[in-house]
Amino acid sequence: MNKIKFYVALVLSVFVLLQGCAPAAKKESKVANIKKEVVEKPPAPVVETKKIVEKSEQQHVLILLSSSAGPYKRLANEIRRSIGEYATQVILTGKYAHDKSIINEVKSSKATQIVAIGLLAAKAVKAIENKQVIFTHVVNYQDNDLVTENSKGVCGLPSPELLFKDWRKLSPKLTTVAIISGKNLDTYLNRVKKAAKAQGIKLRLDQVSTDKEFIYKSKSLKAVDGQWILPDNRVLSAKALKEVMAYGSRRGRQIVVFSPKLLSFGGFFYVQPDESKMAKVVLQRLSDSAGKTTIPGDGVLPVMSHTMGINQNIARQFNLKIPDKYRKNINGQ
Amino acid sequence: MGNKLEKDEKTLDQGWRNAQYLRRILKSGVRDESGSFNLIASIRTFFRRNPLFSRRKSSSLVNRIIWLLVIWSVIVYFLAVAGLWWSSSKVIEDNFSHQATDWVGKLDELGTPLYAANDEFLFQSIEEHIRRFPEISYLRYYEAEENTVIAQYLSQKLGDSSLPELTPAIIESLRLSIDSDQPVFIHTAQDGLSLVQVAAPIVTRSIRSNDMMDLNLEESTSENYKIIGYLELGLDFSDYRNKLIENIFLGSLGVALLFFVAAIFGRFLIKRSLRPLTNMRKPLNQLAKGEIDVQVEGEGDEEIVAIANALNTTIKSLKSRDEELRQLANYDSLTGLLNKHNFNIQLKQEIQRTLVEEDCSALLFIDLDQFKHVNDNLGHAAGDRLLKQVADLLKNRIRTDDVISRFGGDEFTIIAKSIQERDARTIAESILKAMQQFVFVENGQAFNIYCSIGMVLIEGDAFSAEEVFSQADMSCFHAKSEGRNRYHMFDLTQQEELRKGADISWSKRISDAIENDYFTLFYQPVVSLDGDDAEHYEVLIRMVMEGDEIIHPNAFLPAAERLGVAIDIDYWVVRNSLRKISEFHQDGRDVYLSINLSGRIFDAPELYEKVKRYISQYNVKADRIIFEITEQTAVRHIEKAGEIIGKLMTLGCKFALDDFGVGFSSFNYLKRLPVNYLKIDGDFITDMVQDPVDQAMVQSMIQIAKTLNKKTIAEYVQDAATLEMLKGFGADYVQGYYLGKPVKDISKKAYEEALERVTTNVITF
Repeated sequence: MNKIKFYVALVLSVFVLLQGCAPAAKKESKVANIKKEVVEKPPAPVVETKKIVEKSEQQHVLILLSSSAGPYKRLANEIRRSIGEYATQVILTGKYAHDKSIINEVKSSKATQIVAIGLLAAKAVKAIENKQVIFTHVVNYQDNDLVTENSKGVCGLPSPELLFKDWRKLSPKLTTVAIISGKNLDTYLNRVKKAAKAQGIKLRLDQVSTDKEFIYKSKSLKAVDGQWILPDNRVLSAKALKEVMAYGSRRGRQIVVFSPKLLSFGGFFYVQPDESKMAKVVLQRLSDSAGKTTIPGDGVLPVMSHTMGINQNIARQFNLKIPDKYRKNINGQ
Repeated sequence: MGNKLEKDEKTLDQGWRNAQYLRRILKSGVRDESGSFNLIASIRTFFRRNPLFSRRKSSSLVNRIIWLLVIWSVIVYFLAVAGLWWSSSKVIEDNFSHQATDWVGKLDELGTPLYAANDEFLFQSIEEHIRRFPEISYLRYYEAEENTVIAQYLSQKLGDSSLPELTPAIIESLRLSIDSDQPVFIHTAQDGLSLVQVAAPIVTRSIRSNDMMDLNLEESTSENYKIIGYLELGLDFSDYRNKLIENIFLGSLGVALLFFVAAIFGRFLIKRSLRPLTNMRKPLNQLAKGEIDVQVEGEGDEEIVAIANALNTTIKSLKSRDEELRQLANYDSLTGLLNKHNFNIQLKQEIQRTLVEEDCSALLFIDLDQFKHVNDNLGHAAGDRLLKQVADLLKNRIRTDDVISRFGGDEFTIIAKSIQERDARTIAESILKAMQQFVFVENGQAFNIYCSIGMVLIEGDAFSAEEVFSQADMSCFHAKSEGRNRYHMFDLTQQEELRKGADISWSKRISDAIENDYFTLFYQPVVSLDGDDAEHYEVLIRMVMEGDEIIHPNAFLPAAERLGVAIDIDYWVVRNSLRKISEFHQDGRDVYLSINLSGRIFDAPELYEKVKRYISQYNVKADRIIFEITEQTAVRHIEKAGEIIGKLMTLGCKFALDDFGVGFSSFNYLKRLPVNYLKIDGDFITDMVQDPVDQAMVQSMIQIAKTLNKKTIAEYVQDAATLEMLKGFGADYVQGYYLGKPVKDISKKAYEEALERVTTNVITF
C-alpha cells in the first residue's frame, strides 16, 4: 500500500514539474478554458458576508469540489455568494486523467487561496506550493497530514458540544454513548469527550480499521444506550451501516447519524454542521490569511452551529417527548 | 370357515402364480430381432397373458378388483415413498445450503477479531463457540496475501483426516464471487456426501468519501473493497441425514401400514359391496347350464337389483316359453291331450312297466267313423269342435292313471293301465256306448258320431311299442271293416290282418306327406309331332321319404284310393301344378301341364270350385291345364265325368283320356266324353315296332281320334323306331324315356333337346 502511495506521489510530482515548465500564455488560456467549462454563475452576494468579502478583496479564490455532491455544492455556493467574481469553482470528477489536468490548471492559476471541499480535493491540492488551502468536509485529515502552515481546515463534523447538549435535552435519561470510528481523530474526539462529560454522559470510544470491525464492535457493545455514528467513510460500508443500525435499534440504542437519509434505517436524529456557518468560518479563515505567508489559527476550526432532524417514530419507541424547541426538527425538517 | 380358507389359499395361489409367471417371463424374456432382452415387451407380455389383467380368460371380478387395488396401492405406496424421499432430500439439501450460507455469514463476523488483531489466540474463543455445533466439521481462516491458513478448527469426528486446503482455482473463483452474497460450494449434499464444503472471501468495504455527504443506502452504493482473507467451512450433515433416513423409513413403514389397513378394509368393502353380484354367480351358472328353475336374488345397489330383475323376467319368459314348447311338443294344441310323440314315449314306458311289474295293460286305438263327413261338409272348424268334444268325452271315460292322446286326425289312443282283457273290453264298450249316445250339433244339424276301436293287451316286451301300436291300428281297421261302430281285440292268430296293416301304414305316411308337403312333382316332356314347339309336360307325383328316398306313386296311390285320401292327393297335385305353371310363366316360359286325377275326383263336388280358385289364385291360363283321367274311371263314372269335364272345360281347361284302349270300352262312351286328347296306353306302344297287332291297334285308335277330332298322345316311346312309326301313323304327341325321363327340375333346354329328337330322327323301315 505504501508502495502505491509512493508511486502516485512520484507521478504527480513529475507531472507538476512538467506543468511548471510550460509556456505562460498556454497556461492562461487553459485557466480561461477551465473557467469556461466549470465555473457556474455565482449566486447573489449575501449582506452578512460583505465585510469579509471586502477583506479578501484583491484575492482570487479557487473553490475546488471533490464531487458535485449536494452538500459540497451548497457550501461552495455560500462561499461564492460572498466572494463574488473573484471566486472560481472547479469540480473534480474522480477520473484520474481529467482530475490530473484540472489540478495542473489550479496550480498555474492566479488564485492565491484555494478552498478544498472534501477529502479528494484536499488531497489533490495538498502538495501545491505558494497557495493557501482551506479545506473542509474532511473527517480524517490527520491520516493525510493535511494540516500545514499553508493548509488548514474547517471541521466537517458537527459540534459535539451542541450535539450532546441537544441529545441530553431530547433524551434526559441518556447515560452511555458509544462512538466507534476510524483512527487518527484524536483532536476531535478529545472535544467529544469533554462535551460528553459536560453533559454527564459516559462515553465509550472504540477505534476500528474496517467495516467488519465496526460491525463486530458495535454488536459487542454492552450497556450502551446511545451510539453516535460519525461520517468516517474508512470504517463504514452500506452493509455495516444497515446492520449496525438494525442491530442497535433492536436493542434499544439511540443512534445518532450524520445524514437525514439514515433516519429511515433507525436513526434517532441526524446532525450536520450548519453550511452557512461553515461557509462563514471558511471565509473568515480566507480573510485572516489573506496576504500572509501562513494561515493563522488552529489546524481545524470548529463550526459551532448545526442542523438537525429528529425521527419522531424512534422517539416514540423510546417514549421520548420532544421539547417544543425541537419540534421544528421533527422528521428532518 | 373351510370355504374362507380355501378362498384365501386360492388368492395366495393366484399371487404366487403371478410372481412365478413374472419371474419366468423376466427370466426367459422376450427378445427382439437382434436377440437382446426386451424388458418392456416382457412386461407387456406378462400383463397380456396374466389372467388378472387379461380380458380373454374369465376370472372372478371381485378378485380382479381386489388385486388391482392391491397393485395400485403398492404402486401408490412406492410413489409416495419415492416422493417423500425426493422432497425431503430436496428440502434438506436446500436447508443445508441455507445453513451453510448462514454459517459463513456468522463465522465471517466471528472471525473479525482474528483479522483485526492478527492474533491467532483470539481463535480460541471462536473454537469454543463453534464446538457447540456438531455439524461444523472444520473451519479455516486464510490470509489473503499468501493464501495461508491462519487459524483452523477440526472437529473430533474428523480426527486426523487430512483435508486439502483451498486450491488457487477455488481462491480465484472466490475472488470473482466478491459481489455475491452466496458462498462458493466446493462439495454439496447433492454430490451424495454428508460433508458440505463451502468457502467465501472475507471482504472489508468502505464507502467512498465523496459519497458520504450524499449518502443514500436505498440505492446501490459504490464502495471500495478489499479481500483480507478467506473462510473455508465443512459442515457434516450426516447426523441429519441419518435422522432423515430413519424418519423416512419409519414414515414409510407407517404409510405401508396405512396402505395395508386400507387394502384390508378396501377388500372388505369391495366384497361387501359386490356380494349381491357374487351371490348371482350360482343362479347364473345354473342358467348357463340350461337350468331355468332358478331365482336370482336382487339386493343392494340399484344396478344389481335392475340386473336381477331383468334376469328374473328373462327366466320367467324362458319358463313360459319352455312350458309352451313343452306343451307344443307333448300335447295336442286342439284338444289338450297328449300328442303322438309323447304317447309313444308313454307307451314304451308302459311296456317296460308291465315287464317289470308283470302287469297287464291295454292299448285302445279309436278312430271316428263319420269324422270325414263332418269335416268335408261342415268345414274344418266344425271338425275341430267335434274333436274337442270327443276328447272331453273320452277323458271322462278313463281313470286318472290312464293315458289318452290324440294320435292324429280323428284318431285317439288310450293306455288303460293295470287292466285285464275283460276290463279292457268293458272300457271299449263303455266308450262305444258313450259315443252312440253322443250327438254332435252344428248349424242346427245333429250328427251321430260313432267310432271304431282296435284293442291290444300289453304284457311285457314281447312286442315293441311300434308293433303293439300296429296291432291296435290293425284291430281298429278290422273293426271298421266289420261295419264300424264296434271294437276288436287283437288276436295274434290274425296274421292275415297284418297285411292290411301296411295300408294303414301308408295311410299315416300319406297323411303326413300331405300335411308336411312330403310330396314332390316330376315333369316328363310331351312333344308334338306337328311342329308345335310349346312346352308340354305330364306332371307325375312322387313321395319323398326320409333320406330323400323317392317313392313312386304305384306304391302309395292304391292305398290312398283304398283309404279315401286320393282326393287329397289330387288337390295337392292340382294346386302345386298350377303354382308351377305360374312360376314357369314368371320365368318367361309358356308351359302346358298334364295333371292326373284319380277316380275319387268324381266324388269331390268341390273340384270345380277349387280349380277355379287355384286358377285365379295363381293367375294361370286355364287352357294350359290338361287334366288326365283314366278311361276306366271315366267310363265307371260316365255321368259325373261328363258333367265335371264339361264344367271344367267352361273354365278353359282341357282333358285327356288316359290309358286309352286298355279297357276296350265301347267307343260309344267316347262320344259322350268331351275330352281333347286320347292318350294311348303304353302297353300298345312298348312293343309296337315288333308287334303288328299293336301297330294295327294304335293305327286304329289314332284313326278314331282323328275321326272324333281329338288329338292323340302316345306314351312309353322308348326308342327312335317307335317314334318314327308313330309319326307315320299320324300321332299328334309322343312321350317316353326316349324323349325325356321324368325329372324334378325340367329346363327348357331339355325340352328343346326332346323336340330336336322328334324333328331330326329319321329311320327308314
